Amino acid sequence: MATEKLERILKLLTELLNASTPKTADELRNKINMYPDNLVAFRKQFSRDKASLKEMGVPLEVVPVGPSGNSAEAYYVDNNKYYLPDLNLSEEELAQLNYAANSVHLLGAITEEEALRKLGGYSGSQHDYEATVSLANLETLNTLFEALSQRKQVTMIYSSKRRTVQPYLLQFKGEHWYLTGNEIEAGSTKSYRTDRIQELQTGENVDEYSLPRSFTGADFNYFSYGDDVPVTAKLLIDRTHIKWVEQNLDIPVSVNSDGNGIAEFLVRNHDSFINRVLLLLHHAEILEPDLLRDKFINRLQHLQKSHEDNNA
Amino acid sequence: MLKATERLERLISMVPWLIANNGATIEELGKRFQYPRETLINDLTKVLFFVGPHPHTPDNLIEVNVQEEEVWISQANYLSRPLNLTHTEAFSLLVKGKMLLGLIGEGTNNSSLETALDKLATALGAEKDQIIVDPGIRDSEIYEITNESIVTRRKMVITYYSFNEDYYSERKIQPLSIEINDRYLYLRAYCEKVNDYRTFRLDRITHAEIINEDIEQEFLHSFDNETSDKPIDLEFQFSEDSIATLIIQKSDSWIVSKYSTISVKERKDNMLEITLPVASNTWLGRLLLQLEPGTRVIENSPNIDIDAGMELAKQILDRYGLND
Repeated sequence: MATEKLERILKLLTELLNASTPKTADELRNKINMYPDNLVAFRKQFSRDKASLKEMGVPLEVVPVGPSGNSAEAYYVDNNKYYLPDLNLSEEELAQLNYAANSVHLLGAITEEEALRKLGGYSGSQHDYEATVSLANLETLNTLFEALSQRKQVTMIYSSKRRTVQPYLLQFKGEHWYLTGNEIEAGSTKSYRTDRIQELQTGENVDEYSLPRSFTGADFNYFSYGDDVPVTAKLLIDRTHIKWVEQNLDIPVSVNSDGNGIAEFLVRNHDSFINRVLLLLHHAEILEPDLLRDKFINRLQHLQKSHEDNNA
Repeated sequence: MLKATERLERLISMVPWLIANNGATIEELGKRFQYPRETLINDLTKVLFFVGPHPHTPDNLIEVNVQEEEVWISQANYLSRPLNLTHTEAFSLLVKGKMLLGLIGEGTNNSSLETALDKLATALGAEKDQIIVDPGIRDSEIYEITNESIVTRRKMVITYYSFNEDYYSERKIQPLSIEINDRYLYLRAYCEKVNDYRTFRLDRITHAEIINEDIEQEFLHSFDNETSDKPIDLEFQFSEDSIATLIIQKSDSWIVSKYSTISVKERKDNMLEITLPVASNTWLGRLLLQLEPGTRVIENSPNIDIDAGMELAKQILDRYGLND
């Protein structure tokens, strides 16, 4: 039974790939010659076969044919969409893709076995790395990736505002996915957290925009961009907190001869920087510049005074 | 036993490779395409052999030759290329490849992976640089050691920074699993210091080493039974007994979306009155340092210090040589 079904669907696919024009269900039935004579049973079986092809990713299109008002449905597979472009992968490249597929696990995603078989074979190869990436909002990510690879504009609601965006890149950082693209309404490049995107829709037109020569993703060191006077900050960090700073604040730290840490970086948003340093409590000290050191001290003294006033 | 659609998916992936490779052994095909031997032979000789476009005359049927464990195929031009990747398949392969590159370092010993990702992205009309994957804490010694400890089922000794209490502790733990919740990776483990299960945020482990002691099976089993399907409980930091009510500026209303609150009221003086659970005095103090001047604590549980913020401010200013 399964062998007969396999042969029938394979013949259906063969006819669709060979057809130069859309074919009606009756035409396909006559060519394949494996469907039941009973019309109801045929329709049911044909419908299940179409569903199987679609589920596999076959781009089966339905088009109306015949005179207006009396049209029937015909079926068509666009060969350009069906066939995988020739990737010319070497065995080593395929092995590396298999290695990546086996080393990294995607939460909420499908297995890549089918994809790798299409590329030339899947192997449950040994791996030294083990990592998991969250793809919690898979549907949104797929839509954005499709738009990005076909240069289609998207519309979406973000922070209660409708926006039209030309997607440039998708970025995974800090366990979230971000979209960076050109927002038409704002006329500038912006980044959005993808799990906060609502009512996402893709435009119809392919190649609607070009990618700029260079583009970067979202900047997550909030103090490194802003409108304040740019200054280079020098921060002394207790040896006990060096590792924590490296792992939590994304800041490279060099170790002094006494074992304590020194971090130097450009600051363009003074308040954001001070908020980060406050997280370290008394385990760090702003050494330079005086501008930031004084601002930091003033902030704490202001808090103390305000507290005393409240208690007076 | 493969379903008909699973056999079809394998066949239309296998035929292009078989043609390009100019034949292969049954064993190679079975291994490469996860095709059970008997099913493969059946599908080659009893299905594929009878397939071809209408009118199904011998000159347009696929020709399958099976001789002494070797297979060749001809007259299958319309199946000579595989079905295109779906966007989901391509995206997940690119993400996995980029993550692996991030872990082993781009430009090192993985040029084949880089070129494979390039080819894959280009075939879809994208560029591989349009996907950026930052491994974050995964690209750290702590992650590597923790992972190895779980795989080899050995105990670890860790130094853990308790952010809420601002202190470091040494613990001997039995690591059980690494899990993701929202922005962070967490390690679930049995902690021998407190003789109970604990959840550790991976980026707060500042030192880790594996010791030569096996994880006890009883903890693995009870963990599997009790917690494997449950999400990470982030509320472990907060006790229901510790709450505080703050008067804050409206410009500080971000704390309402960042932390769980018990109540939020708008006041006539244009301020907000917020009651929220408090993890510790240090936690509350850190929060108060982040807020605008004029913030007040108007109510607190007996174990919570109304001056928590000021205590921390004093310690910090001491470091700067002030407060004398």
